[in-house]
Amino acid sequence: MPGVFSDSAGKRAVRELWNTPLLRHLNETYGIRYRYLGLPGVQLLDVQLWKDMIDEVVAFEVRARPNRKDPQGRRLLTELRRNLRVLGIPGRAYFGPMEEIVILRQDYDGVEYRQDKLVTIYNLDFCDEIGSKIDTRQKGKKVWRFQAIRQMLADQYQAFQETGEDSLFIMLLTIRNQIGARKLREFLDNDPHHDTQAFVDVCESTNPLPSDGYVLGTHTWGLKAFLHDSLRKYCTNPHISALFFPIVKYEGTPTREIRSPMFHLMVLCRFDDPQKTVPLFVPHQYLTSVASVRANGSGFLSWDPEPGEPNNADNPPSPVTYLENYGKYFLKGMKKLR
Amino acid sequence: MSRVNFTKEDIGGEILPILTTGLYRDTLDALREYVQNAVDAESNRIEVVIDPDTVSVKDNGVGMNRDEARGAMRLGISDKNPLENVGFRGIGVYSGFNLCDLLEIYTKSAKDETVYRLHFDFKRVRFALLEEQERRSTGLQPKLFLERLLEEAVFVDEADTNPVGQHGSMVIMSGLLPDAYRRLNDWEEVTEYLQNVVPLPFNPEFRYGPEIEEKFRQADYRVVRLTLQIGNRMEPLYRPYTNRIFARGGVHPPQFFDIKSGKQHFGFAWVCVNDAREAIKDTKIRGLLIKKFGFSISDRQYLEPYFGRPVFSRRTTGEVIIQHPNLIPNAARSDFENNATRQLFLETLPKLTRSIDSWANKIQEEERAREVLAELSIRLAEINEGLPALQRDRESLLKLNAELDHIQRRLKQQKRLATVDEAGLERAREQLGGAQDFVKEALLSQKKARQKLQEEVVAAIQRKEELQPTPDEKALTQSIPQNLIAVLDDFGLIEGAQIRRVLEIIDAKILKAYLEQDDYDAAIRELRSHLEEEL
Repeated sequence: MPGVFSDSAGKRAVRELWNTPLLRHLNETYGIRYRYLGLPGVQLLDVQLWKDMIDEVVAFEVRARPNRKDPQGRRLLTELRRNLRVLGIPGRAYFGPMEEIVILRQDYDGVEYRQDKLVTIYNLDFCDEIGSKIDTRQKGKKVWRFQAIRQMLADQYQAFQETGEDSLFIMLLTIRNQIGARKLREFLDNDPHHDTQAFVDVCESTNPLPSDGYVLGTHTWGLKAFLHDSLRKYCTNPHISALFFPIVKYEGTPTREIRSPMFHLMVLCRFDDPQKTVPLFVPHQYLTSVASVRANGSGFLSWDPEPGEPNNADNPPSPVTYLENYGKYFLKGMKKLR
Repeated sequence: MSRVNFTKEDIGGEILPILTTGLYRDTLDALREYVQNAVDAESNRIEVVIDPDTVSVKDNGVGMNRDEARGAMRLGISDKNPLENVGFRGIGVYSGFNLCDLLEIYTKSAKDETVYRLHFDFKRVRFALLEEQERRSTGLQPKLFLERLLEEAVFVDEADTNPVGQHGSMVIMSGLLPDAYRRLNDWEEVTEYLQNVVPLPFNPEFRYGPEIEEKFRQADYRVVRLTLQIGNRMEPLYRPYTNRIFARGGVHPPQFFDIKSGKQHFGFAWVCVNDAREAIKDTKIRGLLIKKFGFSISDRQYLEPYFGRPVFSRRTTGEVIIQHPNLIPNAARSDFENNATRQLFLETLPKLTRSIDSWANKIQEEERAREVLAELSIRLAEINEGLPALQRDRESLLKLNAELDHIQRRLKQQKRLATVDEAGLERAREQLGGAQDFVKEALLSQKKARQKLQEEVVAAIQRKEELQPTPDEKALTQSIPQNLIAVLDDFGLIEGAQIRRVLEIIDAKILKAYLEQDDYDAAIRELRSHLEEEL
């Protein structure tokens, strides 16, 4: 199946042991139901797992590489749509890369993209490098992955203002643990947040960044700092408070026999009233106070701190415990079901 | 004559595209078949979702057990009762053949825990047919027979997922062919089509919807809620009636008519008439539509020839709901199958249309009467208000008198006035009587005043003239011509035939017509007197 990413043991562990317990906890404790937007993949593995909690799915599927049997490259999309119907969950699937559709507001079929309801789970499973651009069908126009995330947050804010719904939402960001060393260096040298700088200084002393080439799974700390700092900037306007969960590292399915170290970040977000408060980013000093987690090939989670992170070996990683420790602000005003 | 039996090798695979292409020329007709199955399955909720490459039709109907699912795969054989269901020919499930690559039907009956999946690999069938054509073009004998073709591409199995819930069915057509999507991508067209297929509820913007739906419930006529999604747009569909189709928002409540002949009960009709005496503007809505199980039979012009006054077909809207089991729609839904019941139904239609004619006519006559009364009441109020100012204006009073006579005649002509607004009519009559009395009294009073004035003038003149006229002068005075032309001639004031003719007209048609003889004579004398003084 060209273009279909098969599920690795690490990915399954992230989905089943990291994402699911949090989603189920919020669902069972606070009655939260989910509107899902993202890249579920043709097999809709996560949607299947959470289907009893999901009310609606907005999916994106890019064309498979055209071949003789499928000259239009629609097979994956058709299959995704078919699978979505079979699951019996209302929803729609757009044809094309999510980044392009979100920014150009139209899919390959000319179907208009719009977000009219608040999304409660973003599953941004890019399977690729976060710092890359992608080509679009508009000649010469490229879009950045981060640009798309920014646009999605703006859409979310618009929907929040129009619907007035409770604004708690979860962002699941999965990227390839890979980035150009030079690009990362540019970011690190370009006035990062002072917390970030402190973290970077510690990490650089033990695991310095090479001057050139790509870092592949070896400098998670750099990507973590880059991602955390960028998301914090994007959340500041439109005024979103965010609870950053530990980074989860895992091995994805190798492509062309090259290993695929992956990097998963779960963020719980909530819109704040811009008149009343400044957005809150929790935990304070996230980079240095929260250790990373590894989802290993045997399908369980363990702490796997990066340089500059604490060693939490005493307690097994649990997103629900983490939420209970740091998430009070985000759950403020929410009624427990029992 | 020896008899030759058919074998499975006497029916080639080509029969499938021949049948489906012939029956379902339009993509929407194919979609209709699946929606029709959902309606026939006694569902009350249907969801139709159309994407560029996938179409699904989901219902909460009775669903199918294993045997029924197996039976549904058969070609040209149906378990459905033609007297109870619209779709009963056993072809419909194959209508997606020209639409999509893969057709799946997930179905579950409430009595069965298992969800069954009917699987139709139409792409494979089409491919096999192409291969067979190529094979035969090389001169080889046919070997692709319908039985083998279906065995390879059509099967039923147990599904490992349940998209339908407790009971119901879900049809999924995936790998939609591009032409099919182009046809299904038009919201208005698909909506209009489905409105003619599904017994939808009434639009909340139609004020008489609840009343008619209550009648539906009493008559055991089911409505089915349908949600349509095309791309991003998702809306519930309704019957096409809203208050806006009527000129004034729909003043008249609907009327219901039973349709029967002797012991045969065909169904009932609900009818709304426009609230202006004109055709309903929206040509898609005006006229009556015959429906069976939500399916429209022919169009809204079908019944027009049966109306004694066709204008009432165009001024009304509504539906004829057929409930008689023997009235069976034909395949094209253009009429009913020809049978004795249809014949009797057609013979009954003039009776129905006469009743509608008569009801609509009565309503519109009453409407007309109300309009006249409203118009005259307004005018009478204006007249009454302006009367004091006209008390000394004889000419206006005379005109008003004529107008009041006219109003009186119009009030008498509107025979329905007393039935539609007795109190309003009484008020108008009181206003009319009051105005007439006022005008009459004012004219009379003026006449008396003029007479009195005349007498006073004569007396004054007589008092002022010490000398009584001599007999000659008196004779002369008496002999003075007593009309306008003669007076003017005496003073040589008329020059030219045209002026003379105009003056003759003024004299004859105006002065003599409007003045009584005494007044006229006085006026002529006064004129003479003025001329004598001036000239």
